[in-house]
Amino acid sequence: MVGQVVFHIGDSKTGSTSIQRTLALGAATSAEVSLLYPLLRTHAHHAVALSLYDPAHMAERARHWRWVAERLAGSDADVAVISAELFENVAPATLAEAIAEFLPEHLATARFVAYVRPHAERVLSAWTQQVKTGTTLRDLEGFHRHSSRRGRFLYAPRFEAWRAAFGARFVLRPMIRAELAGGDVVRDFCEVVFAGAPFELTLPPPANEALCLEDLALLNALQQRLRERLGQDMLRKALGGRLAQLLQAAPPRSRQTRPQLHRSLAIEIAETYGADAAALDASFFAGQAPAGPMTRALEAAIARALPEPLPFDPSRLLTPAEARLARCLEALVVEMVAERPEGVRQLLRARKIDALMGV
Amino acid sequence: MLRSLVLHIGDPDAGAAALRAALAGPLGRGVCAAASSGRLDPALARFAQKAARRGAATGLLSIEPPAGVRPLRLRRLLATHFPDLAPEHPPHLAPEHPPQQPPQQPGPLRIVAYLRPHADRLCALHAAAVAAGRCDAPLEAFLDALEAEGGLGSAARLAPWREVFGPAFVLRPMLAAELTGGDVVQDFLALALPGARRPGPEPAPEPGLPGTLSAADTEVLRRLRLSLHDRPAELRVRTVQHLAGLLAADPDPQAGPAVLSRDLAQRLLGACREDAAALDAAFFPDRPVMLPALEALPGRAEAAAAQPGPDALRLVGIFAALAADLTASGTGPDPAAPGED
Repeated sequence: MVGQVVFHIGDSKTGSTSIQRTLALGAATSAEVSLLYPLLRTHAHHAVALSLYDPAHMAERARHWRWVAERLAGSDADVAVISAELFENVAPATLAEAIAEFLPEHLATARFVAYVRPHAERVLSAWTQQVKTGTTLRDLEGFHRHSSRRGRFLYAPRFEAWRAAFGARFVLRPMIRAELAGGDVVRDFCEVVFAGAPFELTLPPPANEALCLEDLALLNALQQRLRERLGQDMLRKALGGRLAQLLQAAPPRSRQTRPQLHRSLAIEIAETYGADAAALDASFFAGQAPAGPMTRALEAAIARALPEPLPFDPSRLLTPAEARLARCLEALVVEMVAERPEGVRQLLRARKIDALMGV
Repeated sequence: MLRSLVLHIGDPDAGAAALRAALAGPLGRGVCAAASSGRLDPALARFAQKAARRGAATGLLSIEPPAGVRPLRLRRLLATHFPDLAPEHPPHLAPEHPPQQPPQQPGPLRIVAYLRPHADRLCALHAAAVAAGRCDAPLEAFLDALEAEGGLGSAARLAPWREVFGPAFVLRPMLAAELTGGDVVQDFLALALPGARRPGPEPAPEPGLPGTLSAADTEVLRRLRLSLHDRPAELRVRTVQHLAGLLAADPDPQAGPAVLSRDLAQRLLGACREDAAALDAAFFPDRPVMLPALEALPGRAEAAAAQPGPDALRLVGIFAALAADLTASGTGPDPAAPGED
């Protein structure tokens, strides 16, 4: 049986994919601490996390958790890691119940590791991610206002709940390069998992290469067209995901704009999340003067923000010829999807799985 | 009863689409106009009936029969459907050097055709083949195929028209500087309805008509077709045709003329010089146009043919891969609705 299990619970956009790929490839090893990373069809254990909160997956809860229990019982590794950023959507008590039911021998010793990205960066990265998948069609400012109304990025109450459930076995690390061991989240995670034992790490090529603003604008334009034609549909997201894969895999554009906050929005974000940052600093990153890392990050976001907003309209980001070509290609794809949505959905699902499996 | 008929014989690559659109609009009292891309005999019969019903004095008809037109057959059909409009000059009376400009006193029947210079024609034929989803060869390889089928020459093809219709057959060079108003529509209307008030600028081309595609668009379509090389032919063709329609419906106002590579320009010069000289001698003896246009090619050529920019090609590659994904499941655009969005 595995000696200890570590749940890597996210957050999204904090290097989870890099951590998962490293573990799946066996690229982190220690002579003193043996490590088990049970492999599902994908690098991450999303199905395990989804089975705890997503109604579409909850019927599979027992099957997935028994799978985990069997892997852990069948190994004599010192440490096992279960990793899925989707655990950020799970209530700590729900996870504790699942551990008690399926991994009772680990209930008292399991550790939980999360990384938290400073608010301004999280708003920006969440926006780019949601534009990629078609979850939002808003521009950056509109996205911030919408997400702040829902309290989407209020961290302190959520992480306080994890600490209340698991005490010191819950470790929260700031996703700030200067705060991470070796300036890298994968190395930092290995430090936590191997608990100070020496380890060897071969970092894989960077995952989730960020899309430039021009590509995001193209994706957004396609999503707008798909929504007009197809309405709200998971198909849009699957198609957006596939297009994002292709954009990421393509050679970079000759001229790229990095998505960035502008000053007035950075100030607005600081006003929205200032209290949350201070609370998080006080609870988790105390003893750092004059302010904790989350508060300092909000100030730094204002300092490096652009004076004016960046455009988010393909016609202002692309050359006229490229914008016209994009319009025509988007229209072609929309027509193709509209004609046979069901077949396309299956195809994209298969392709997405292939891509995740590295096929 | 028609007192005159001006018949446009359209090549798909020589302004027929624009002319068809123009003839669909009103052209004045006493004028009956139409365009047809169907079979020749029924098209002429329908037009004769339509002109008679309207009591038109002047008929303008653009025909583009799918199987092409043979001059002798056309002459026979005209005699059947328009017996009062026989060609003014029987073949044996045709002048040895017919006029380059349309006759000042035109006869009751004229047959008008437009001809692009050789390089333009090569590019237009290539664009049409690519836009129809029939071809993914680059221009050089397309020329190889054309030469294997008899080449780009037009002199031998057009000579029988002059023999059959004499000076009633008018060949116009499709060069902006040579055309009245700089375009085919204005030129044709000036020729057919001299002195009449003509419509304004050339109407926008119909979506999906390949003659309107630039060299950059042709390259885009070619790459799309290549990316779909392992898809069923029908899907490949439909997808390419659909994008061709979308590109034609949203023309790039900044698209420039095709730029040939120096090698291709030299090759064309060698291959077509004789034909260009023969065309000038037969149809443009006063001011040769075909040979000068051909001889100007090397001076306008570049070391390599112009391509869309790297970001545009990147975009094409990405969307072509997506289209390949989508066609893998048997999907494709509805060919019945080209250009719709």
